[in-house]
Amino acid sequence: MFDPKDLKFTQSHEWISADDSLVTVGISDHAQDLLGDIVFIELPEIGRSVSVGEAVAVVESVKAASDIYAPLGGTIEAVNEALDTDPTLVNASAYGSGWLFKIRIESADAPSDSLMDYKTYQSDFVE
Amino acid sequence: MSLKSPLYEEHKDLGAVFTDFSGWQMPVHFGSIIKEHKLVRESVGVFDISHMGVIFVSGTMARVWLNELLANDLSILDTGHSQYTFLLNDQGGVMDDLIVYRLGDETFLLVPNASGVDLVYETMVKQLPESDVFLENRSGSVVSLAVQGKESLALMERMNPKVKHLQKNELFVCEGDCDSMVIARTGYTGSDGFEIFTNIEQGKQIWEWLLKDHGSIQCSACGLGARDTLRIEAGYPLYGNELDSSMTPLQAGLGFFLKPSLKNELRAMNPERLPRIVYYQLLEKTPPPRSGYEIYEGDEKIGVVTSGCLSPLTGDGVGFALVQKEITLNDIGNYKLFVRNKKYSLKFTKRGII
Repeated sequence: MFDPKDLKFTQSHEWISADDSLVTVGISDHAQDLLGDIVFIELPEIGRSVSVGEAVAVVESVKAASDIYAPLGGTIEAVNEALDTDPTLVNASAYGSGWLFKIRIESADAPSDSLMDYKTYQSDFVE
Repeated sequence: MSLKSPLYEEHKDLGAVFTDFSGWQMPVHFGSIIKEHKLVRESVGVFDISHMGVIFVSGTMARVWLNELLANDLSILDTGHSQYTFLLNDQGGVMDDLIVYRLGDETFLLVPNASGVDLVYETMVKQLPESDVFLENRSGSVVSLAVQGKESLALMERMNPKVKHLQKNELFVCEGDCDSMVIARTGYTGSDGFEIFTNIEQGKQIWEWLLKDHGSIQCSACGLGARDTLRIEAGYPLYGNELDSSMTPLQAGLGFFLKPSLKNELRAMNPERLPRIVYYQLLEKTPPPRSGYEIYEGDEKIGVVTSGCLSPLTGDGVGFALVQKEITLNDIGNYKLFVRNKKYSLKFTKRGII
């Protein structure tokens, strides 16, 4: 379980665990709350190389399908297979057992400027 | 400007998430569509359906006139019974689907969709005879509640013991604390259930009573999100998705609800009944089927999803599709749903899974 205060957030409500070449990606607790009951999650294939802003996964609630965008470029190194049998893990624990996938950052590219800390995300996108 | 249910403030206090439904701000859920769905299947849930139309028709000629106006056979509808029916255009297309409740020998209550009430009422006004039939459109000033689920009888009996004598589709009019009300054993969820129509003040009292602690009977408010997944699971069509003015009830698979003479007439107009609405069930794990997704037979696109969901009960993708050609029911090899360039096997079936 990550402490959201240690995470970086995108404007499209993804979070990443920063400060490592292997970053974990999920959606914010606010995003899962907006979506409601999550019933299906389509995750990327392991080994797929992705670029910033590319749609790589789909999170589906009863009412809508939402694309999840890669917050950083790199290679998909792991996906959360538990979501295949229980997608509601994202509702129950958006910063813990509901993580989506992990990206291996290949270059020394700095994370995009548009990533925000928790406080900014909360004040700009939640409250 | 959006319309609000008389119970809007009550919904807000319960933490409802609202959605626009045919111009009405209505609760889509009170926390979880899935939980509300399961509550109905396992216990009982209460839906505010005050957005539905409420039109009273009375007079010595009311029955004869309504029987000419509407598609089902009203001549066989006794007092205290209700009937699913349609208002059709000249081509046999569905202008709206509605329930007719026969409250008395010469008194009827019509409940069209929120989206259809204006059209239904205007059509009735235009065709109204000079005397002996009277219309009263009370849409928007009535509280309509659907008490639905396995335990709905047990709960309703505590409100009015007489409900146990109601068979499916039967109704009675009774006096409440401040107005008369209609209680009918009807609903649109596929589970046992009741619908109540009454004035606003009394409706608020009943809503509050239904949601208080009933001990062993678990009951909560449910939103239109669960109402949609329940009706999809049960195989009930929704106007705007499975029914519209370009298609006859026969094409929607609802010929059972037509007068025999009208059924024959519509059949002669389009013997192939194509395009046609059919129920489908996915045969493998899939994303939720959604309106607009395409259905293929081999390389040929044969249809498009009009409604769908993952059944909260079974997890199967289910719903309705509009198909353009003859299909084979229960054929398990040929038909595929396309979702984001992936194919998932499905079969067509005669009815819903509940």
